[in-house]
Parts: sequence; C-alpha cells; structure tokens
Amino acid sequence: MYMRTISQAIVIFLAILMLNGCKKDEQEIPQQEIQFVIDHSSGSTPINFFDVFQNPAGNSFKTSTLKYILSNFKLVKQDGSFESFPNIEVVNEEFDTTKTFKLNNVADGSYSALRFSIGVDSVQNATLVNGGGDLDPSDGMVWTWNTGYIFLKHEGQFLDSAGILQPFVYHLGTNSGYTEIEIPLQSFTMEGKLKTIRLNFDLLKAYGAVNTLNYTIWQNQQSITPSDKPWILAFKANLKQTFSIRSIE
Amino acid sequence: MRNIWILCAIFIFSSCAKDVPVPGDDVAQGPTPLNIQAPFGLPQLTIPQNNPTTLEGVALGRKLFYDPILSGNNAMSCSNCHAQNFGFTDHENTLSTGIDGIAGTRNSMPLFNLAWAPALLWDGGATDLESQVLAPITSPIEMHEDLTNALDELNAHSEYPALFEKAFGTKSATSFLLMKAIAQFERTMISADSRYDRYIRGDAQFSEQEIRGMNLFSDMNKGDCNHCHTLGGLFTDFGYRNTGLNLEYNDQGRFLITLNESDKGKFKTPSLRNIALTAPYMHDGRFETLLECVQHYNTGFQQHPNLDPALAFSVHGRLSQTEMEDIVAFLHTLTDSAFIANQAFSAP
Ligand code: HEC
Ligand code: HEC
Repeated sequence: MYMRTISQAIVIFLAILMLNGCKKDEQEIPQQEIQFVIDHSSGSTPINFFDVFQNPAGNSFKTSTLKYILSNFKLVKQDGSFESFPNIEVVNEEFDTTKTFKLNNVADGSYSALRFSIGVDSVQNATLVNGGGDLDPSDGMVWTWNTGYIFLKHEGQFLDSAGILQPFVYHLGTNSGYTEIEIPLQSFTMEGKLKTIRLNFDLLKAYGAVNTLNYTIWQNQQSITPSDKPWILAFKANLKQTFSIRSIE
Repeated sequence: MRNIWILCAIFIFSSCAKDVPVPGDDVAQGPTPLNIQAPFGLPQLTIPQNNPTTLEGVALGRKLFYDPILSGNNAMSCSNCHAQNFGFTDHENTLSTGIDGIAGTRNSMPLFNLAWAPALLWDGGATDLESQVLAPITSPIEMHEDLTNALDELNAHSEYPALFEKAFGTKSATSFLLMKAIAQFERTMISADSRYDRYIRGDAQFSEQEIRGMNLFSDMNKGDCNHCHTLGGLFTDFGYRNTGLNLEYNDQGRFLITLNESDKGKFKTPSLRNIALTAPYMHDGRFETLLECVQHYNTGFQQHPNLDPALAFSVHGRLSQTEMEDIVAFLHTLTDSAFIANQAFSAP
C-alpha cells in the first residue's frame, strides 16, 4: 500500500515534469517562421472572377476556379544544402485564408534560393489516404479512378475565334505534371524573426512564359488523354516561371 | 512495482507524443485487432500499416458497403453493383451505369481476395483499396461536393458517429476514415473454399471431365489459361494484357492510366474464382457464357498490335468442342458456395 502510494507519486511527479518539459521547449523556440502571402495576377492586375482578361495567345477569358497544391518547400543555402518543410498547401483564389501559410522552425542562416513544387511528388501521389498529408479528398483535388492528386485547376470561359463563349478546363496532374520551381533569393537571412515573403502567381505567364497556349486549341486539358502529354510539358515549362517574389519583409 | 515502472515509461513517452492514447483515457480499449490469415492455398498477406484491420472497422465498413446513404440520391449502395450471390458483381447490367462516362463503358468487377490485388479496377487505375472507395461514391472525373454531403449525412446520422468512434476513436466521419472502413471490410472478403480447393486438399473428387479441363487449362499448347490466370492460389497474376477482343478498342484500358501506346487495349487479368457466378464477362461484359469466353481464346481473338504474345503465337482452333466444354466444366469447380453464403459478408 505504502509502496504503491510512493510509486503513484513518482508517476505523477514525472508526468508533471514531462508535460512541463514539453511546454517549455515549445515556448523557448523563437518565432523562426516564414509566412507566405500569395497574390494571383494577370500581368500586373490582380485577378478576380468577374473581369475579363487576355492571355498571351489573345483569348479573352474569365476565371471561375484557380486552385493548386504546393508542397516540398525547401530553403537552399549557398553550399547547396537545404532545409525541408513538410507543408502541403492547397491555394484557392476563392478563399483568402488559403493564400497565407507558414513554414515553421526555419533555421537561422543565409539562404540563396527557395524551392517548392506545384503538386505532390510520386510517393505522395500514390495513395489518397494521407498520401498528401492532411489533403482531404473532399477538397476536390483528387482523381479517384486514376489514383492521384489534381495539382492545379484553372477553369473559366473564353471567347473562341467565332466570338462564342466557351468553357476551358485545365487540370494538371499525374507524376509527369509534377512541377518543381526554384526562385533565387538575394541576401535572405533568417535571424530568429518572422519573415514574410509575398509571392505573385501570374496567370499570363502560365499561358505564355515559354509556350503560348491558345485556349481555342488547348481547350480542355485534364492530363488524362494522349493529347495532354505535350500539353503537360508545355504548361509545366510555363508554370516554372509563374511565381515571382513581390516583397520580403 | 515493475508494472509501475513500465507504466511510468509509457507515461513519459506518451506525454510528449500527440497520437499515442494515454492509458486510462476514456476511449476505453480501442478497437479489437483482427488478424486476417491467408487461408490454405493463398499467398501471404500484407495489410497496410496505415490501416490495420479491426473488428469494429470491418463492421463499420460492411454497414457502409450496404448503405445507400453514400449515393447522391440515397438509392444506391455498393451492393447494387456488387451482389454477394453473384460473387459480388453486377448480374443485371452488362455495363454498370450510374458512375460516370468512363465507368459507364465497363462491366462491374467481382469483389474477393482484394487484399492481394496490387491495383484495382480493370485498368489498375486505383492504387489501393482505400483510394478506390471514393471512385464510385463521387463523380470520378473529379470530386464534387458529393463526398462532403455523404460525410455530412454520416455525421448527422443516429448510428454512424458511435460506430466511427468504436472503430477509429473519433465520432466524426472523415473521408480518410470512410475509405479505411470500407477497405477493411473488403480485405476480409476472402474466397478460397471452392470445390477445386477441396479437391487440392484431398477433400473432394473431380469428375473425369473436370480433370481433363484442369489439364487443358494448364497445357501450353491447348488452353494455356494458366499463363495469365495462374492455376491455384488467386487464379490471376494481375498482369495487364491485350486479349484481342477488338482491333480497335473504344475503351483503351491500361493506356488511359499510363498513356503508353503499348498499353492500348490492355486490361487487368481477372481472377477466375467464382467465374461461373459472375456473368457477363470481360471488361465490357460482352460474353454471356463461359463457353463464349473459351471460344474467344480458341478462335475469337484478333491480331491487335498489342495482342499478348501468349495468344499471338497460339494456333487458331487448337481446342475441339469437347475440349472447350471440358475447360468450362473445370471453371465451374472454382465456385465457392461457402463464400457467397457467408453471413459475415451479407447485408448487416
Ligand atoms: C454503379 C455500379 C457500381 C457501384 C454502385 C459500385 N461499383 Fe464498384 N465497380 C463497378 C464497376 C463498373 C467496376 C469496374 C470499373 C472500372 O474498371 O473502371 C467496379 C470495380 C470495383 C472494384 C475493383 C475490383 C478489382 O478487382 O479491381 C472495387 C474494389 C469496387 N468496385 C468497390 C466498390 C465499392 C466499395 C463500392 C461502394 C462504395 C462500389 N464499388 C460501388 C461498379 C460499381
Ligand atoms: C494472355 C493472358 C490470358 C490468357 C492466356 C487467358 N486469359 Fe482470360 N483473361 C485475360 C485478361 C487480360 C482478361 C480481361 C480481358 C478484358 O476484359 O479485356 C481475361 C478475361 C477472362 C474471362 C472473363 C473474366 C471476367 O471476370 O469477366 C474469362 C472467363 C477468362 N479470361 C477465361 C480464360 C480461359 C478459360 C483461358 C484459357 C482458355 C484464358 N482466359 C486465357 C488474360 C488471359
């Protein structure tokens, strides 16, 4: 009886110690975070779902959906080594809350480049149960009959050459659609403080940075038919150029 | 005293980790692990680590499998297209309707021994049972809010929250848990007690015709069925093959997933277990009878550029009428009556 009470006391004591220990650790870590804020634009104009914009091929278009997955964030040092972050983010033009997110526990130091990907890598893309971390299939970014995530969706309407309003659908996915992006950073140093990086995603670049994509020709591209193969490559090359840094604070 | 120290250790470990339930927590014991054993004759089984099978999980999955709550109009459940007495396939429709344009070109597939399948669907498009679950529930081209609706309905239901809690320790139905529960149930659907199995175990007799059929099945110069529908075990090697059903395929099968020209017209080799129950046959349900199937391999196959070499080099008309009938007789021995009568798989 006596023994038991002592042991119980030890257990409780240790437990309290451990719990406190954990809390303390968390509190002592300084706020070494990078906050991202993403803007979507068409050239220099912020995009919205109401106005008509013109893509580099000359199509007048209106956007109804712009949504994509970002993952595999890395901060690269001068010597080529890098810090990795587990974030998988679904950015949706419709919801501002999805356009800001944080990388946590960024080690102090100087970084020369930011890397991340549109989509999830082939390992994560192989299953819909936790493949993409917390990415919930009900979020609408999955293919269920061809297991995998939809990396990017851009949908809307455009005026075809006859002046008729037509829908366009761009769904990027499959492992060959996985798009790695690298943005150079100039004298970017973490020093125990929160930094905010404002990124801009320019739709015009997505349709013309390297390859001009005409909606009349490439109207419905869902990464699933043979004709999507060249499209994936062309679109991917453009996407690599779509992000730029607006500001770092 | 020793126990106390072990307890101590557990406590210390768990105090920092979020996911480990603390002993004495009110989520009592947690679900009961269910160890699925590969029966005699079937290969070893691996259960994915992120979805261990439990009694409660399987029970929930079974209820969901039979519940039309998962469909948009609450009128169709998995069992509508996968009926137990037909080896869990659709006996009424040649081409299952109600899923989408793509699945609308295909015949429903039987469901058993899925725990061994490296990929699901005729084209292997679904990589695991969990992921496959979503395909029929939602519009397969992409997810609409149907899944969210289904989850809302489950969460508002009088029984489901308690069942989810029993199975997964949380009352709220999520996509992941829905997928996991149904997959758990599907993994328990094992069929390995046909007359063929009992014959192999020495518990049943074959007629002379059945023995002839079995030999023709394996004979490289005759049926050569064994080449793809491996004799014994699962009765398939799960390979993708073009069997020359068409010169031009409307449904390009495996090609739709890989976009490789060489995969045009290739489909997953189905198991031949319970085959007498699962008519109509082939991915498009074109054949009504087993004899038609055998005839296809004998004289019907066409020289598609991707036709499997096993067929491309086989002689047209190598089987006599009697030999074809013998093979059909053998195929009938693969029916597992115990499986289709097993209450564990019927509507709860
Ligand atoms: C409208 C009819 C229909 C309904 C309802 C249906 N299925 Fe199916 N099922 C099919 C068809 C057709 C296929 C083959 C589809 C293909 O290859 O694209 C299939 C294939 C499958 C497979 C693949 C089997 C294999 O060997 O590869 C599984 C597993 C499956 N269904 C499970 C389910 C579950 C679980 C449900 C309920 C959530 C369900 N099905 C509801 C028609 C249906
Ligand atoms: C080259 C590999 C191969 C060989 C050899 C082969 N099969 Fe098949 N079998 C398949 C494939 C692949 C399918 C699915 C084809 C499809 O639907 O496009 C299939 C389908 C079937 C089906 C329909 C199954 C269902 O669920 O609809 C039956 C029955 C069948 N085969 C029986 C036989 C018999 C009997 C033989 C020997 C005479 C044989 N097969 C030889 C690969 C093969």
